[in-house]
Amino acid sequence: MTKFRKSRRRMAIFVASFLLVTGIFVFTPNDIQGFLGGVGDGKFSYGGCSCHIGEAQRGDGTMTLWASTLEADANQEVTVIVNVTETVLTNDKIIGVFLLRAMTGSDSDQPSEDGWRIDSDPNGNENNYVIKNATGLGSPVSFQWVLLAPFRGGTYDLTARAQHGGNLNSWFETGEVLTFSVTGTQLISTNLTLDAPEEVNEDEQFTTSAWLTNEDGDPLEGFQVDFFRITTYGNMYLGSNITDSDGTAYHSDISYDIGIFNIEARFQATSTHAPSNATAEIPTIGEVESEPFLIGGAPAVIVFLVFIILFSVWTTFGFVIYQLVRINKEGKIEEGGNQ
Amino acid sequence: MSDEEMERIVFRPLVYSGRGFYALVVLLSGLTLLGVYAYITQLSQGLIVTGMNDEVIWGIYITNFVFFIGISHAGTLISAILRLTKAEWRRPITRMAEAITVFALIVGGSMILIDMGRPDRIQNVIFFGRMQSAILWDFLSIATYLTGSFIYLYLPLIPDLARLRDKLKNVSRFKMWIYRKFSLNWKDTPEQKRRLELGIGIMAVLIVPIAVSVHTVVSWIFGMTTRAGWHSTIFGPYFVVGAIFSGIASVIIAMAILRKAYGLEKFLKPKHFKYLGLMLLTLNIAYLYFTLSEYLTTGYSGPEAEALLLEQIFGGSYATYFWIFAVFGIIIPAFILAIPKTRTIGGIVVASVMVNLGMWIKRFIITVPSLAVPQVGLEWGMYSPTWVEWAITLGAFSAFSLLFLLFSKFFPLISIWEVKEAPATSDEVSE
Amino acid sequence: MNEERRRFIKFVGLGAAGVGIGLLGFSNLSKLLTSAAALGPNDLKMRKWGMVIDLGKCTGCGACTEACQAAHFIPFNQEWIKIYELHDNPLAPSYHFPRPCMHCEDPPCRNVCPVGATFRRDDGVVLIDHRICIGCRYCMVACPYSARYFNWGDPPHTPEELAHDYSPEEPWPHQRGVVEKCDFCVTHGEKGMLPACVIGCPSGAVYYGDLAEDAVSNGKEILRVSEVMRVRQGYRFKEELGTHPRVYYLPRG
Repeated sequence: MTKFRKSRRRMAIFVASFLLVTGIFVFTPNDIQGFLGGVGDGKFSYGGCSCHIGEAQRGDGTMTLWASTLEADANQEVTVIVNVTETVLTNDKIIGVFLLRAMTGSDSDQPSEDGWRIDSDPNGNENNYVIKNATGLGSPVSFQWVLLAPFRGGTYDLTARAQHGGNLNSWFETGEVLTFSVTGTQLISTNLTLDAPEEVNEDEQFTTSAWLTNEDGDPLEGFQVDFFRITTYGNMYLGSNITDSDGTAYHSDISYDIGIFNIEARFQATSTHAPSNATAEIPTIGEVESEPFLIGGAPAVIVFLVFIILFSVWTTFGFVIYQLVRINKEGKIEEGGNQ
Repeated sequence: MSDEEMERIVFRPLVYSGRGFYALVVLLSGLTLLGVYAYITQLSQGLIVTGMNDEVIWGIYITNFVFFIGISHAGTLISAILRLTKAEWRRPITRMAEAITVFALIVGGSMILIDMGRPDRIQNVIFFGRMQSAILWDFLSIATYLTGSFIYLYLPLIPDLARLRDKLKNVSRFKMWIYRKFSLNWKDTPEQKRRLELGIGIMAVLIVPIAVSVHTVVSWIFGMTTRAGWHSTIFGPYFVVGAIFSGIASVIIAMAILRKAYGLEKFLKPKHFKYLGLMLLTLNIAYLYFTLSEYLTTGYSGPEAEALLLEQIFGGSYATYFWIFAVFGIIIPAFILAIPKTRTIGGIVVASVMVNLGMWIKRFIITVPSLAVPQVGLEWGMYSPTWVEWAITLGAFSAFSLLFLLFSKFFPLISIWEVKEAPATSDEVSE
Repeated sequence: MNEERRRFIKFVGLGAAGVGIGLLGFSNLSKLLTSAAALGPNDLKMRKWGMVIDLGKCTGCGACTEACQAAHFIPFNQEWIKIYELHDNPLAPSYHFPRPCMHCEDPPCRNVCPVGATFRRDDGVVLIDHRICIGCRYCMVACPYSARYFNWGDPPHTPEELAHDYSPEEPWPHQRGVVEKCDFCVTHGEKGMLPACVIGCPSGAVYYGDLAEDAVSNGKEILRVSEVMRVRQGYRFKEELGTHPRVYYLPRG
């Protein structure tokens, strides 16, 4: 009975130490492997700052809006200024402002959804999200956009949302909303269809074609179509072309890396035709660069060899120590024999 | 010489300690404690108390590390290689050489720990160890070498421990316990003898490649980077030769001191010094050859950084160190060892001391100037060791000497059974 | 009983050590064997963070260094992006050369790290895990760009810094005895923001972006990398070392 209990306890100790050692060796390295993979895929949306919604902490600050006019004709230039003051800044002293049509937190918050076109943002680009430096804590920063009013008549809202500091937990909204009433014009509405290859190889030239038609589906000839690549930090201009007699404008390009080539074709408004645009995703395939020698899989053989060598050396040590054990035993036997 | 006389001479340090011994122990412990105090200072304030900085990233800790690992090659060469080549004159000096190996490895290895910014995380080397890193190769090879040289020191001790167990009276109970426990019931039976000889034979063969690998890997820590003066294919053999060079010099110094202190003249005869002196001369020339070919190749047509480095070493801010090494560490010892008139015990010991000083400086010249070379821009790194680094260095040398001294008080410095077994003729012939 | 227990302890000890060594070997081996796995379809949107620095625009004012130091609470005035003055040859004028971490595709620092504290993410950002770093400084020795710094003493702290949760991507609060370097502000990039040095540069000399998108931005304009490299004869610093930096330079003029 006692024997049984003892062996059980022994078993428990053995299992416990086994688990302990296994735990140390298995789980500790995992700790590091957690960081080895890329957190990578930063999804950033220019429109609804969807990345912000749901973040708990609100920052402090005051934001006021100003517009050059609240009544505009179609395609008229409208200047909107966002003033940000009394912001609690982090050390990077940067403020980012989104110009939005609504505050739902989705991509459809972008002013372009209403037909607004950004002529220039505070940095001279065409983005609705802009980062600026503040000179000091709480000092006012102003952001100026020049927009082109939508072609369709109606009332449209514009508002803004700010974030400050390097950390995205700090954001705030303005209660103000600018409401514009736009007198529309009757433009010929257009339709742009972008035809892109389903898949391309890296470093190989591919061609996309943008087909411009009017609302009846008739091709429009002699109009300029602009091509952009949609990237993390905004739209990158690729080139332009004039539509031919089939209403098609071509653009040839090369994708240099594995990934997705987000391409956008844009037909800017003219005095007679309404704007239109189309986007396409072109997956680029290619050979994945393998990790260099000694880091990737190749040296498994070498590691194995090293293990073999070390193993044989230490086994030989063990063999020599075994000789010592035998020497000891031999001495004991000798002692016994003498007595 | 009779058995009794031999035992009387060899056992004397184990049973009798003079005033000089205690004075030395106090001195060395004091210096070691100074090093410990300096290390505690470093632990509490961080490596900021050293002269190292973001440009010169490694300093005299790494210099010491390379130096001590170099000295550790003494045991291997004298003991294993001479044993394998059946050089009979080795018999009285193997024990000292093997002891130097073990203690130099312990001190050298701890220099790495001292150099670490986070010594509290040393276990990460085991838990997160990456086989691709030369430091891990070093870790593995030094651990293997330390284990191997410890076994190799212990094996030939067993018969001597048994002799102490049987013959020594009036020693402390602790000492007797050591002798009884670690002589493993040695009765000198043929079977025990066979097994011991087998073990020693295996270890002698095994320890040579391990030792070569250790200093090769130490050189690779430098060689695997792209720094000027380090990225060289010659570094492996260069370091191995340098290690054996300073290792032999250390054995000669240890022999000379112990011979005087413990009256071992009957064992350590002039011929031992002469033979070792000639080996030292050979390695001196070999090291000179390696140094020449290393500097000439890079200096003749190297990249800009190499040329700048050599300029600094030969004529710039490191020139003093370099020429001290070249003149006092290589050229003068070579003449002392080569001219028969100066190749006396005194001359050989003087040459060995110069060699060891020179080799320490050479390791400094290998470590520091290469790091001071600007990799971007033109600004050279500056480095001057602080008192903490010097105190730890002094403490390391004291600890090494103290370990050796204590060893000499617990274990016989001459392998009695091996000396006894020497063929009677060899003694006379080689005289 | 005593004898038995001793033998048992020995047995457990040996068994545990054996298992441990075996597992350690296995974990290392498996880490090595799996690292070269192929990419699946979901990885197509893999990031490739990179930088383009226009030496023609750099005035050497040092604003990037200051912005970086402020954003990362950098201790000891370490210059994660440091401006050197380079002079290539006797006839050419000297020029300012900002040097961030190059985030090499084959980083020597990562290769020599004995504990894997330095690692390279799939998006190419080379980071240091300060919870693992043992402070041997071998990576600093191996880095051919002198882009790494060491916290030799205890770094001074601010309350804001201490309130932050440490992660290798945002490596503060800083601690003593570990190696620090530029983290490419990778958390900024993931949120569509630009790194501190890019925003801080008043002349817009520093561009940052996803090289897989072939686009970099300085906050004011977007450059097409392949185009600008071709037109301006862009180069990478110390190309001959084979480290494959992710930082490209546009020469002056």
